[in-house]
Amino acid sequence: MQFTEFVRQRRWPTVVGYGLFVAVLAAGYYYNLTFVQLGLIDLGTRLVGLTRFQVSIGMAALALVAVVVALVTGVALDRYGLSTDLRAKLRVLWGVIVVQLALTLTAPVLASPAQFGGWIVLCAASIGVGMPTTFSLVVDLVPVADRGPVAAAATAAAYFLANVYPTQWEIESFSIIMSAAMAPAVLVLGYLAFRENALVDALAGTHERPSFGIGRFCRPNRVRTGSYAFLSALALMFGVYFIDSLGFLRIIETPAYIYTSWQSPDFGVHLLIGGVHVVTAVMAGVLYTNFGRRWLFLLVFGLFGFTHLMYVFDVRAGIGDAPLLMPLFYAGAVSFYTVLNFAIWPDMSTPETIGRHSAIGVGIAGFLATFLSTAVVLYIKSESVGLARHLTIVDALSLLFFFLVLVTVYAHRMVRLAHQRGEPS
Amino acid sequence: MRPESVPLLVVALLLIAAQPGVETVTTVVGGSEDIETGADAVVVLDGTVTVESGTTVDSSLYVLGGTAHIDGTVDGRVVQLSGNLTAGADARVTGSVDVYGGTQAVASGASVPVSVVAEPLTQERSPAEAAGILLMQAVGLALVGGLVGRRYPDLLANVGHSMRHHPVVSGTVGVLATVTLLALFVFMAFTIVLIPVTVLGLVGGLVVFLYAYVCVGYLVGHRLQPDRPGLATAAGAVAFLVGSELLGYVPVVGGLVPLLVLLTAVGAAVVTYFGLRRFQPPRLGAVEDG
Repeated sequence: MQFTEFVRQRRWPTVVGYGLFVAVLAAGYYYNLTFVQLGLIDLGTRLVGLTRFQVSIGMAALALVAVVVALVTGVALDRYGLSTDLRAKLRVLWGVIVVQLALTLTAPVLASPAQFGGWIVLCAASIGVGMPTTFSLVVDLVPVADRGPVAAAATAAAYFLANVYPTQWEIESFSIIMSAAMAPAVLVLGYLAFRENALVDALAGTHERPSFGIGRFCRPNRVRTGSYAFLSALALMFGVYFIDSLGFLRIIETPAYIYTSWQSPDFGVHLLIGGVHVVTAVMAGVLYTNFGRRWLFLLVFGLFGFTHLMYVFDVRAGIGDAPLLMPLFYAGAVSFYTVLNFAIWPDMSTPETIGRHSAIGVGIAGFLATFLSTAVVLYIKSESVGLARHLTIVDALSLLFFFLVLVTVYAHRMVRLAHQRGEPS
Repeated sequence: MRPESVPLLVVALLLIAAQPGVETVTTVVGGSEDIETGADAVVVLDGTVTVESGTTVDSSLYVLGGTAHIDGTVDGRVVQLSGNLTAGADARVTGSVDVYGGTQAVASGASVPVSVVAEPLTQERSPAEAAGILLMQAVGLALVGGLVGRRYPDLLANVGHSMRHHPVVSGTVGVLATVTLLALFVFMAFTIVLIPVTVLGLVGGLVVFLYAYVCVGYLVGHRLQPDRPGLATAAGAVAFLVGSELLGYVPVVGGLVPLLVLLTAVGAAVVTYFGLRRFQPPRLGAVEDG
């Protein structure tokens, strides 16, 4: 890792830059994972009095607004040169955090569907602006060689914290922890963004160095937005998010599974799932650095396929408590794809395209896929499709993607190697 | 589920597959369950399963771990491979009760016709027996290692290179592949239909581990005798076997170290396509303008 070299050389601004990026990315993802994805359900159903169906529509609307705002923001960041202006990006992020702090403080007092709807639009807009801006920090703060481990660190931190606290998915719990964490972040980020300081001055021009600015997959040639490389990664990541949401949205509504895992009263279970997230995130960081991106996609689809196979099996045959092995494998698959998602878009970008590429990548593959899978889940439920059949569909999709990627990667390569071995040199 | 239950589970599932009329299987992996009705066969991996007094269960019971307590009637067969089997005074089993291992406590008055088919598999071995088995393993490994080392030294060299120069990657891949594939094969077995695939997979897994053993042997032996890869691999594999046995006397670490080395070798074999090419992690390429 270059990080250890920077520490040895006492290049403290660069070292602090790593920490800043991990903190911003992990905090943003933690906010998205807990407060938005899980807290919103509680907020809508318990405090506002909406049905689960209405809240799901609200969440889908949130995803759709977020993707539109993210795309506009991403394009604007690149077009107006903000992607290469560290201080400007920090100022935008500061604004996002201030808005999100206000949203967090007001969430527990929402009482009507209209307020809930307005809150969702504002929340979606803040996420849409914040996401590409956060990703674009990478070209200033993290060298290309260390993006895998840094993505792993952010993933491990976000998921470990999300599993350990809060253990109750209630908006009040989320609001307290978020507000407490955001208040100092507003001050620190405000200082970095608006006051002259040595740290930002030292890091501001880093993106001009190829070792920081030019992503791994942009070497030797830049990845264009409409290229096969970018679109195929987009399609695969879309598949990952779609499959994840399609399965998870149903699993969290199944008491037999959710109260023995993510909502277990036993804190040890939360700790175990958080620990698995950490271990698998580290593994994913190692694999991302040492293999091509298709291998990680293969692994993610394989893990999702296998995990849903276990769920399907358990739905059909299990009579005891739901085995913890299933959520543990699920956690592993999620960690793997999150690391991939954090690292792949910056690595397909340059400082001139980072805003656009990360917005398209995370917006289309992440938010839009979530929106569509939510809609599909609602449709499937309206058709009274049983849990086993629902998870079988998810499993079939995972295995299909797995098989397609497998055939295009390993089998093809192995045959080629075997042929080369047989040929006279 | 404990890892040591995996072979027993495969045996149980093979027995279930051979039993006519069994199409559905349920498993108990922990906690306490009262069986009332359900699948054709119930596999107890862990926890406690109870057939309540006054109830009749029309399933066969396979005990691999935990405890199966019978107070009522089991209208089927009971097979015990390990774990505990207890029966109250009112217990009744209409089919056979085949015991291959584990402990039994049957109350007088119970109609549970226990027939011990085989002695428990986990017996303490005498030092002579242990030495004999080790010798046989060493001879077998030496033969396989010698053969593979002599015919395919380039493959072993590639795997060895990955183990030495990329141990973190190899170890990560080895652990991930082993855990995932092991779980996959076990779950495949539960479908009954895929039991042959499970058996094939486990046999394949054993072959891969044997290959990994040979690769470790090559790595160890090559330092001593680089000019004669066959002999070097055979000697290295035997040395690793004996070293692992000796390390086994050290608590915790003794068992863990050889396992980690083997998993690293498995990972190295995977990332090198079993030695067909040398593993080279991607390097950041040069940058072109434009």
